[in-house]
Amino acid sequence: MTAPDPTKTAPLVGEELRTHLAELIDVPVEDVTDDANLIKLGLGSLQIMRLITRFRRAGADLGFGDLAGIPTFASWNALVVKALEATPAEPAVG
Amino acid sequence: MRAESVYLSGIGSYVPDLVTTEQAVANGWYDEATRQASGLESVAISDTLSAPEMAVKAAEVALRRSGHAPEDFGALVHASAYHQGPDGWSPQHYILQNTLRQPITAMELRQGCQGMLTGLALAAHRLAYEPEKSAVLLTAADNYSAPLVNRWTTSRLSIFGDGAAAVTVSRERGFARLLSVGTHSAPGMEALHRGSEPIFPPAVTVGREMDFEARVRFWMEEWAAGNTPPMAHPGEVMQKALDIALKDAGITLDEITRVCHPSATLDALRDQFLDPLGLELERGIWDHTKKVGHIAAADVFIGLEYVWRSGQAGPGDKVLIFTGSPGFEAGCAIVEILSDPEGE
Repeated sequence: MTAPDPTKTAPLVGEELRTHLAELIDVPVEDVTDDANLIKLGLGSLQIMRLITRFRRAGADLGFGDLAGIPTFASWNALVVKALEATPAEPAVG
Repeated sequence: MRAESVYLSGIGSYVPDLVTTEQAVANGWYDEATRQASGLESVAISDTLSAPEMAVKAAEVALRRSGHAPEDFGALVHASAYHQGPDGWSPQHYILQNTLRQPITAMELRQGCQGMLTGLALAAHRLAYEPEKSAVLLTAADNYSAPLVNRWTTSRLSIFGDGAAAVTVSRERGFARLLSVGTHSAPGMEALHRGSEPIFPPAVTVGREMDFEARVRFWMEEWAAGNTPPMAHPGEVMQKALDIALKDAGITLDEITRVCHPSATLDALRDQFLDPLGLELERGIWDHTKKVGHIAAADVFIGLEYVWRSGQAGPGDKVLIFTGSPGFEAGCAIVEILSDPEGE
């Protein structure tokens, strides 16, 4: 793909990720503690797929299997940070 | 699979009357919030015609359009996802007897909603090694107006519709040329689609309902308790099938004009497939699939007939057909449209 990807989004990490997760699950952000089980909080598989697409468009190449093992904010945030470091920086558009 | 000299010479469908989702909510069949979130407008439902009878109706149309004589056909492959009729009876020979009426082999292909797409690959294989025959008849049909399934609530991903599709696959000519078929499976996911249900005795023999959501609930509870489900991302599995199909067709995704995808709720369609694959809703057939429901294995071929007959895909256009099945397996077929429909 040579054309700029119009769906490219800014990385979703840190408190922004926590807020996004709370919105997806529809719970207060305080409930999304570092180690709260996101599945137990109510996160569904379709929402996880949506999140993965969002991560990828921001340059974090993560798969379902990467996230499935430990479904917590802390675990996923660490994975996103690591994945972003592994990807050469590319200016986010839009 | 790279196809050579394999054509779709005829296509037909039978889609029964549509029941609006608004009517379904008014009847108390499911709830309004789910309806609104789904984006689905109506569903095709047959209270009377069985799946094999609908398959015959679809085949009659496809055969008429194909220009083939019954003697041209070497096999009939009927794809089904749900029960067709009496146990120990052959719906495929019923369809054969009421269409081609030839003394040829007929088989039922049970691969969930992917059976007809796989039938396309099987037909290509057969045609390569049966020089005295030039065509294979593919049918697919299901009817979910049965006591042990609730089409409105069994799955949050789609509402099951009734109907049938038929395609004649030819070595000689057609309105479309098959370029490739790609498949990829994640067999570990069989456990996901089984949930906590015993394999034996088979569910239907003990009167147990087909309830996909019960399996989802089982695995979500397991997951919340720390037991990771054997799940892969359907979009990731589909991407691998798509990569094979594109490579074998020798084209890129940009060259695909239209995409025939299964009927699902808007979220399920985007989150599972369209967004991960990088396909915009506009290249798909949402305007069609939101009106008919998920008609099992016939689904995407009813979609192909729709894009061809409506002129949304014309000569030179390459159409991607993709669907998946419990397993989990994903399949993609790429066809090139060669001619417009003739006036009928």
